[in-house]
Amino acid sequence: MLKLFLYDLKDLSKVKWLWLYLLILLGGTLLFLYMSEDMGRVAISLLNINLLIVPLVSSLFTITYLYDSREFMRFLLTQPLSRNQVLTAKLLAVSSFLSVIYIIGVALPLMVKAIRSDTIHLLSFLTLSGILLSIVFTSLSFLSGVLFRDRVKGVGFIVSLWLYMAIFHDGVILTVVYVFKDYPLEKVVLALTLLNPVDLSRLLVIINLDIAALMGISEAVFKKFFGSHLGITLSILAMLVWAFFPSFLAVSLFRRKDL
Amino acid sequence: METIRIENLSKSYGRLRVLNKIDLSVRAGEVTAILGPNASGKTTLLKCILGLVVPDDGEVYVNGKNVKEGYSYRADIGYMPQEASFPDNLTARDLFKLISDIRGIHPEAEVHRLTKLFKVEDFMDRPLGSLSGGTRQKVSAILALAFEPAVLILDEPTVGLDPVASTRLKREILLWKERKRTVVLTSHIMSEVEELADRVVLLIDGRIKIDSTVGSLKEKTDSETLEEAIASLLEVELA
Repeated sequence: MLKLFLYDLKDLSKVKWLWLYLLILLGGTLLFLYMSEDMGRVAISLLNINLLIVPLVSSLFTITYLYDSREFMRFLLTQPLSRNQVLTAKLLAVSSFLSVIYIIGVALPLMVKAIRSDTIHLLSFLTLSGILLSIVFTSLSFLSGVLFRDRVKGVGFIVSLWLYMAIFHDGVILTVVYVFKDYPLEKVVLALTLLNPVDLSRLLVIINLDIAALMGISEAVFKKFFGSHLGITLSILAMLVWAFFPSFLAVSLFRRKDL
Repeated sequence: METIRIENLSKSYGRLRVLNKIDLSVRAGEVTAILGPNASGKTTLLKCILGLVVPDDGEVYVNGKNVKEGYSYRADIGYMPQEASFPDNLTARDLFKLISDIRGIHPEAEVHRLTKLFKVEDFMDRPLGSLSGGTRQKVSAILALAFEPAVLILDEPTVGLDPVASTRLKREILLWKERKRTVVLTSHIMSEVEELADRVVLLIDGRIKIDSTVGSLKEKTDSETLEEAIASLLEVELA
């Protein structure tokens, strides 16, 4: 599997779109750093990139790459290789590559600037949330690619999922809170937050910022219910489940799929 | 000696039954041609042998190993698909290296001989995406042959090849037979089948209608050529 993983990394390194993605992340981060000395503000600006751009690029790139690789994966599976090895190597390679791009594009310039400041803790969580979101949406895209043979359906599914998680999910929480305002809703809001990795990654950064005005309903409930430390641990664990479970499901389905 | 054994193999896609209780055994030192009209189940049958399609029922054994029970049996197989599709960024040399690493064999001398035979030496360091369909098909043929597998599975092998490469590939297939190895191929070019195959398996609607040697098939249908023999059988079947 290591050989396949290394081959996939080499193949990914030749994709020009990924280098463009790196340039955009790096350019954005340097621009924010140039425009403000306040690392808290820089973190909030970069959080928006984390919540919208990182999941969208991870999803669209992964699903396109997966569909483009389908014929060659079929050919590889006529060699003495298991389906598990072929898909897992590709999944690990794409996740690692996107994570490294995020680290070079966002984390490195931030760390260089803030290595001795007291905001290093906050920036570490920002980086963690970006990496976890890259992995989660790579994993979800693999699941979509395995579920749908038709490229249009696969891309449609993952874009709809991104749209829901990045934009509409908050609306659903607000609607639930508004409609059922006479009932105790903390546990429902907690459950709804755990169901959205984008919300979880925002929570990871906002709880660390500790600015009440920036907190949405889910962050406020999380903080009230668990406090900062338990809230952070729980959101990281939930993100890891989001990263692992769709991958596990994709590999299991791929094992029985007709190619 | 029996190399491939297929027992009671069935496969459906939704309501469409593509393979229906297929029993077949393929022997070493024989070229077996799987024939049939479009959508008769030929490619699905090959994919079942390769483990790309999971059958609903039945078993496939390659060199005594059940294909459901692992993937190591594929080390004995060289496969040439109908249309070669490789990553555009990769060069042919990288591709040979990757497959050599996967198989744990590095047949440099054989790769050198075959690249010379098919005249692809000059294309070894170019990205595969920049090569013509025919050249990619030659690379695919070299990949299937280079590791000297016990079983060769060729899906329409000469489609897209120029006459020189096509003739050389056919010569290689016949050499394979002389070395007592197994070849399974599909083709719509009956003259090619007649030239290469010892045995013909005719699939119609997922069932084996004929499993016979080329000579006895021609004799049975009182035909001069295999093409006439198959055409007369198909006319009766499809009437």
